[in-house]
Amino acid sequence: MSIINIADSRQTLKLFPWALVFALVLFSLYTLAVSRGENVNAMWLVTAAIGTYAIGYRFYSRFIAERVLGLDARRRTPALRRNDGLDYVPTDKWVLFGHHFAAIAGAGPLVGPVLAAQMGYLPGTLWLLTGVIFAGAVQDFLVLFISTRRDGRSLGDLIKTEMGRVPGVIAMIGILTIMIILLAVLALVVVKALADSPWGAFTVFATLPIAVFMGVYGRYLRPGRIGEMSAIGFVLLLLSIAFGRTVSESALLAPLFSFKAETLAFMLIGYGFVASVLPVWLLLAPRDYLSTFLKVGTIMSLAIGIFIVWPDLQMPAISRFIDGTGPVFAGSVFPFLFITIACGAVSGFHALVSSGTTPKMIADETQTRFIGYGAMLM
Amino acid sequence: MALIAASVLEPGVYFAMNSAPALIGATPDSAAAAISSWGFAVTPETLSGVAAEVGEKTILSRTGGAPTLAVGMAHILSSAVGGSAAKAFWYHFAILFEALFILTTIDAGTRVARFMIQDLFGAFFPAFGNTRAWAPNLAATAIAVSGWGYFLYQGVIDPLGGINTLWPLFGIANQMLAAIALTLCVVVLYRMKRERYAFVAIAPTAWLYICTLTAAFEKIFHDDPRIGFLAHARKFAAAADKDQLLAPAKTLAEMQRVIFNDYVDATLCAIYVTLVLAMLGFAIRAIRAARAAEHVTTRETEDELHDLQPAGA
Repeated sequence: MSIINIADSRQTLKLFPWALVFALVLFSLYTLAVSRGENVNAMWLVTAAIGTYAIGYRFYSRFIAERVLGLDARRRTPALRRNDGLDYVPTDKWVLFGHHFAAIAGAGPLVGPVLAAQMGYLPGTLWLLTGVIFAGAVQDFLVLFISTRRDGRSLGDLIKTEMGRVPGVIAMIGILTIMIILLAVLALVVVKALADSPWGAFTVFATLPIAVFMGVYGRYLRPGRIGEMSAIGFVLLLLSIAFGRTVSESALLAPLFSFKAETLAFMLIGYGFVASVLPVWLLLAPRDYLSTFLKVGTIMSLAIGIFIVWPDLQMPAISRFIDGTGPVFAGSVFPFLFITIACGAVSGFHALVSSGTTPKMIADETQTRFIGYGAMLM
Repeated sequence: MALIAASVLEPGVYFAMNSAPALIGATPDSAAAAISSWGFAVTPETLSGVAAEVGEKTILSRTGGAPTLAVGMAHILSSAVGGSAAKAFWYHFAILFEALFILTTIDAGTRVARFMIQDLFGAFFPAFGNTRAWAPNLAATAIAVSGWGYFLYQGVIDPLGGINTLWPLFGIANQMLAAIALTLCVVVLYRMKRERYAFVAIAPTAWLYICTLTAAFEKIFHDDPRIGFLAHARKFAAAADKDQLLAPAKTLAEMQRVIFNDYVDATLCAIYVTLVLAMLGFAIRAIRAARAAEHVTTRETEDELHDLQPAGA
């Protein structure tokens, strides 16, 4: 009897900090929702997000891991069973976490929320918080789990074996058309950002020779020195940004790098063709290193920046365009807000990653919770 | 994070960057007037001031989200390091960062699409599936590139700003893919005989089905030309019949192209809806079969090392 009581009170004691976190989240959300007129500090948003994600990870993902799926650490993963040193490689969980995070953090989570801001910050924030906890992270986690228990096979393949041949083919066609739209939209974002902007266009062009140089450096000049290669690439990158100002101010060079959107579109199409045909080591792999470092570094520095600056939110919580007449995108909150913030809250693209490279590298089945659910929360 | 970066901007600047030229005009004066009339006071000087600070000629109608985000990031980062003198540097750093992000996705994505095309056609013509041969490689790449290239070009010449039309389509496609993936999760949970917990996957799946199907139907059939593709096509067709030009089209040929694009987009939407509904039907069939079966029917890889207990026992 008394033993049970002690266990109970320990349990309660352990949960107590979480009650505090919960209260903090509620208070932040309340501040975000109720403040009108004055500017609200961005810190409230950050606090609400971190608190909510921590609670979601601690309780909901644990519930899924233990009760729903019954993860089993004794079970050997595809990486262990088929270790071929090429695709199937058992990988340290932190490294794999980084890999998975870099793969799913595409442009979608950057663009969607920006567009959704036309309705004010509140609707977007609420959907981002609930969507990630109950939909996005759950999807990444479940698909990763399912694929890990089935040799790390791909989504289309899994649908074929679990649901039948016809649904499998349908899913594959669906995935293909979705990829095509996805690439078109992403390319469009680049075109819109670079059109008629010599500075931007110059720096982006500069990354191509830098990446090729890195590729040659890593393969022929000093093979295997990845750290060295990345450092050189990074310095060159910063130089090219700085030199971009000179280009944009020079009367001679600026017109050379001012492109119309149509021209840029055709250049990008040509680039996509060449990049897909070229060997991976020349252009893709070195740029992947570069952009992974850049991704993680930039997101961290932005987070630190927010903590240092404590900026105010200038947007109203809910703007008048909530009725669907906004100039940025047309349509009312339901359903269009939920498809506009696509990748940030829940993304089908992640299912491709979760059933692509990650399940082939996972070393322990119980890590699917940390990687599948955890990486999405970032 | 991106939401924060967008929200620290002045609303006036935000709308100036994200509205199509058809709505706000091409000069700081016209834009400031239009946006102020929506209730977000902003002066022409502010708009040209921001442009000068980040080292660009103009910030008007730079739709797509990336420049907006870059200005927001530059605002935060330059307050932390370097002050306003460094704003232009941070802005271009942010642009480069986003462009690199996206270019990585584009070439990796084109490669994946190429493999998928070779895989699909390879089922009918085995020679086509050989990913090491040059001819199928080039042909499949060409198919993939022209696929997204077509929509890219359409978006670029779209006078409404492109993103306005294509982003909903992208959102619908992406969320439907998520719905398909989650449907698979639901089916597997049933086949694992863990239907007691299936709600974990059913709830988000149902929500995604509701959202995407409503959105897709509205994009196709909505009466408002700003939302519905068909209504938009009808509006332009009616005008073209009377030899009128509707802004932003400048020639009758452009009018026809706008109409044609509307039908392409509507068809694509309809294809997505059909795909997703078909998946739903197959899922229900699979779930009923799984419920009828007495044992776990899912096919996990056997682990030869030790005899496994049924999951979670």
